[in-house]
Amino acid sequence: MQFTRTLSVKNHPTGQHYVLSIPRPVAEALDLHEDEGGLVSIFIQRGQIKPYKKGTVHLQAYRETQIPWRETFNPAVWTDPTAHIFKPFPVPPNTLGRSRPTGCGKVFDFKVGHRASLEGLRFLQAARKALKLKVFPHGFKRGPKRRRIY
Amino acid sequence: MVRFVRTLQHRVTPQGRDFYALSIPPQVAEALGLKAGGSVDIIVAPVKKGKFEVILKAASSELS
Repeated sequence: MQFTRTLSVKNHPTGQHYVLSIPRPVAEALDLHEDEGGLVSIFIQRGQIKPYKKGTVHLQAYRETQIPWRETFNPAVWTDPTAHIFKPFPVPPNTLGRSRPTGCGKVFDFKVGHRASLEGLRFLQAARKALKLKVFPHGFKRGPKRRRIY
Repeated sequence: MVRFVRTLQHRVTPQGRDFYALSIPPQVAEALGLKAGGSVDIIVAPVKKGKFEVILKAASSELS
């Protein structure tokens, strides 16, 4: 099946916005014809000299492609020692704002990773404090015991 | 491969017809060679049983 549609351009203060009308059989082929549409992954080839190669573009339903995920600290590790310290967390795709590519599989974001590490550290500090209060309810003094002078 | 994610918008026209529209990132328009807009060929080809491949290409008249 082949269809021809016009790629329309609208000039906005933020930049150029492109919209393509999609025929119903194409939406059916993507299995997104029901409800309110859905997320679509748009794949393009990266070129060697220019950032993007001229040519074809592939469309696929987002749910059928690799979902980006990152590792986050797992608080369950405190109660269940067999649990993994880090657990996979799906990263929501960015469909709004500045046009940026979406990652595939495991992604690394320095800012988010740093924030997650701080959260984990804060959780461990709070857990350590709670344990300390449980074990030493009357307080705990650090350092060597003072010698008694008789 | 570079991936962009966009939402396929669906609405029903006053005539009762389904209308679908997809926002295209500027990088994709550049890859199609249609920075100023133009005609696009949408090709749907069967890949496996019940699976289809959807390809966008600049219309041949646009390329010449």
